[in-house]
Amino acid sequence: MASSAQRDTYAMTARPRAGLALIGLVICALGIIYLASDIRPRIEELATSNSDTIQWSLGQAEVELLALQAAVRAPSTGGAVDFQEVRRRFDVFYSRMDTIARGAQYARILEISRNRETLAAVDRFLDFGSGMFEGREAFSPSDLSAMDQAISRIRPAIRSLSLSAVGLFAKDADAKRAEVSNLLLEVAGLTLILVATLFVFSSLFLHLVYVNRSRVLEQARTTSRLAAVISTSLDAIIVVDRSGRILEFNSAAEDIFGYSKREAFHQDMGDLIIPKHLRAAHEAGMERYRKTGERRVTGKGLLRLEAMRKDGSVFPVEMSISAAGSVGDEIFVSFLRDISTRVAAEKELVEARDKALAGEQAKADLLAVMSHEMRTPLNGVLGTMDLLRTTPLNQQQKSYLEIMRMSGNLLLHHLNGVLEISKLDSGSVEIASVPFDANEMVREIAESQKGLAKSAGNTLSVETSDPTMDNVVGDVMRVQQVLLNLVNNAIKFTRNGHVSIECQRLGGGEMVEFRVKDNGIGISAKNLSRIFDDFVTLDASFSRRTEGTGLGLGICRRVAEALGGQINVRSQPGVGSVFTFRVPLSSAGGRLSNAATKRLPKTLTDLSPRNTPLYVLLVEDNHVNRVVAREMLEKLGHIISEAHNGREAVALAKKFAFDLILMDISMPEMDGVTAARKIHETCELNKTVPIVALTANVLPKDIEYYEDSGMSATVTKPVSTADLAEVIMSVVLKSPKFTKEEPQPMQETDLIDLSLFETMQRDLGEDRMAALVKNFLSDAEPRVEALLGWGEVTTDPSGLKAEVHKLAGSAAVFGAVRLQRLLSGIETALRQSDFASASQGMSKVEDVWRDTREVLAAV
Amino acid sequence: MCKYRVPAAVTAALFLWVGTASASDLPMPEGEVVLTVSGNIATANDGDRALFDLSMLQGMGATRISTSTIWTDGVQSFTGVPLYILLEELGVTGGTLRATAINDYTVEIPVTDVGETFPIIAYLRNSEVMSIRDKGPLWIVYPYDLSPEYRTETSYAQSIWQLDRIEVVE
Repeated sequence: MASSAQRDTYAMTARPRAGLALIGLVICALGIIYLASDIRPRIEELATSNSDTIQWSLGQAEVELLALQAAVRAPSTGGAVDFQEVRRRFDVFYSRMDTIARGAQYARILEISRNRETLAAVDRFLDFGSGMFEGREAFSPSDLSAMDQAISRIRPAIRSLSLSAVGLFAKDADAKRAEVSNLLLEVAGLTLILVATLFVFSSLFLHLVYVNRSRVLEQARTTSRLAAVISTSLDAIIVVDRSGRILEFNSAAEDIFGYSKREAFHQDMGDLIIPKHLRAAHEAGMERYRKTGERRVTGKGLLRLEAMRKDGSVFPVEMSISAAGSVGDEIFVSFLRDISTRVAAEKELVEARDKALAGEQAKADLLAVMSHEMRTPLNGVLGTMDLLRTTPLNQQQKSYLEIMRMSGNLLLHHLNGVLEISKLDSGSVEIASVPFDANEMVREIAESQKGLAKSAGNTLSVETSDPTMDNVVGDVMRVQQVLLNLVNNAIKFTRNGHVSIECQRLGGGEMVEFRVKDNGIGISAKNLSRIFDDFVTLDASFSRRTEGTGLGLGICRRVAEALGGQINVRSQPGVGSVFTFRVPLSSAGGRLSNAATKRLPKTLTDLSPRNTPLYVLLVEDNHVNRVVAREMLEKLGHIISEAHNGREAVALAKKFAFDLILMDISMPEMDGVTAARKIHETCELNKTVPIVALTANVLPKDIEYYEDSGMSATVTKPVSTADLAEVIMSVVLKSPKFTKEEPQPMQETDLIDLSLFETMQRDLGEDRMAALVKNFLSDAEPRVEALLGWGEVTTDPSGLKAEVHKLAGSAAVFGAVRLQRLLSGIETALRQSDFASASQGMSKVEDVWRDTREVLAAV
Repeated sequence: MCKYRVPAAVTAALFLWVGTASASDLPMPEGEVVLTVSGNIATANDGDRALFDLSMLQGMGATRISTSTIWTDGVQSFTGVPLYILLEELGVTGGTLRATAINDYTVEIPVTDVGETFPIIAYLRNSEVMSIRDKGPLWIVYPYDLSPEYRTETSYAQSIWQLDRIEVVE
């Protein structure tokens, strides 16, 4: 990275510098070329010569004329005149003058008019001379004399010709000398510039050499550092070129793959270290990259793949690949790490975790089964004691029975605790969301615990001054459960002290805080961290008197977490403890009577008990349970038939029509679920009979399963008379048989259960009730419209079922019994896929809703 | 100034070897002697001198040069024997030629300066025998238009006309 950044900054500064140097070089070159091209022709001009030795030629003309005269005068000097010699000398002179008259170099001399006259005279002389040789073999003395005179006459002219050239050519020579001198100066200047340029460039070159050398040194250092890094790397480093040939194979790679560097060098990486099953993918990837440049693996961080050693063994590696170099000339750098050990360790860990989880699951399953197995006989014991109490007993027997009942209830309490934890841990707890008065709830808890507190010599106080807590929305039962447990604990671990309960909204948000303070024995720091764990009982001095499963706080913690809250504790031994329970309870606004919300379910159960005796089929394999249930049902005034297993039940259902079947789930020969399905499918007389499951299996998913199998409700063992009464009421009310068979006179009392309505109105106050009714009507209106929108029911719409169920619930709260019955009937029909009945019910909804709305609005 | 750039119409390589006379049997001139070579020569026909008439020179070879000169008007055509061939004929391998004209003009030409083709000893000008008035009968000529190297003072000085004798000296 760093090197490429250096490279970038170097490039940024070097480019303009190189540009300047280039411009300078070009300017110098141009200058030199210009000067050289100017000088060269001038030098050449000096080197070539346009003029022969002109002055010499002119002077020679005079000499040759004198030679001619000497030849002519030869007799006077004693010898004979040689005609040929004279002729030769004349021809020579003739030739000379001809040259002067014609030669281009003499043109300038001829520009002078006097010289032209001279030449004309010379021409005349030459004509004369030529004439002298015509027709002669020898000269007479007069010829010679004439010629001599002619020569003498022409001689001064020739001389002046020669002299006139002297001045002319002296000037020329001067000009030429000046030119040469200038030329020399220019050459000297050019040389100077060349030297300077040379100097500049040689220093530039020296600088570059220096820079280059330091860069080479730097590079060598970097390279050696890099080599050290590569060779000491614990990870294998493999560098390949574009075609996949290995360029670098460090010592870690040698160790991991078993190839020596020499063996690996220039081998194809794919052939060498990629397992056969991955090779095709690797080659496809390389090919794709070469073609399109698309990178799927390179630069994508850590990958987990498999690699192959020299011996062919395949092992897991973790690797990352990055590309370096320019496009088209990339190299790929791979870092690989052998993670066999890690993968093996991970596998072991996962196995260990899975085993632990399976063990945990087995434990939870065991708890659920145990609870079932223990609660079935306990059901018998408690139920029988319930019956025993109604028989005549003496005082002693009554006190024994009371002890048995208390012990039995405690055992049941323990079992319930375990079951509750199992339920909470399975995550299948449904959290209700109802409006309630939290302040009132706290006061009620305090009221209920006053007696216990007093017996331990404790005072109990309540601080409920936050008005936003008057009306909140949440799961009142769960909050109450936690708080009750905390208050109960505080009282148990305090003697002659004080327990206080406070509640308050935190910072105006959703979160509410309940605090339970005591000045009891406190908890040591050692125990503080584990009191919320399961099965923890602290060996406090007076805790023995109070029995505990050690599950209470564990349940509290789970409940608080399920509600989205938390429980914390601060404590000091001998000083006391503060338990803080935080839970989100949004404010519903206004003020609501606690009694209303708390009592609503109860009021519903009490609703118009039906005294008509029902024909009930009781299916139960356990003798004790059967006896107990039968007694209870008979007490409620119903007529009972018995079956010992599912097969018997189906047989009976084929012969007789029942109003209700109570069905145990786990039975020999045929279990309850199968029997229920068979009865609904095959027994004409009981096609729509409500079947209620009796079971100690109380996990929510089980209940769901039963109901999906056609069961209308579930009653958890041990069964109480109240449970049975309630479930009979609710199930039979929904039964289509009853909604159909029962005459439904169109009376207001039938539309609305006025007693229920009035009770609610009394509890809430008229204004509040009116507001609630108004809310109900405006809330239900669109729902009813949505229902009507479904039209005819032909398939099983689960959404419709849920919608009907919700609306039925709302109707029940306000005592709109006719609407509720109608809707429940539709729901049951949907559940049994009786679409004809459902459609029929749906067709009535609009009318019933209109009537209900009218009456409620009037009230 | 641009004169040298005019493409020289040089027609060379017209070697007409009429007969190869060996060094020992240089014939005697039959016509008027036009050139006398003396001094350090290997072949002679008149004592220690070699005498040539025009036909002997013409028989040695003919190279044609078309060029302008500084002494004449317009482009002239010269035909002659390369000086180099004459020297070869005479077995001259070194030294200096002292060439002298009828007018006693003398110039020294080092043998090493003589090129294989140029200069020539021209015996025809515009296809005609040259009279003394026309700078004949022999004229050492360079192809001045061909190259600047033939337009130097030295070349001009060596372009001796009315040549009639050469002395080969050390």
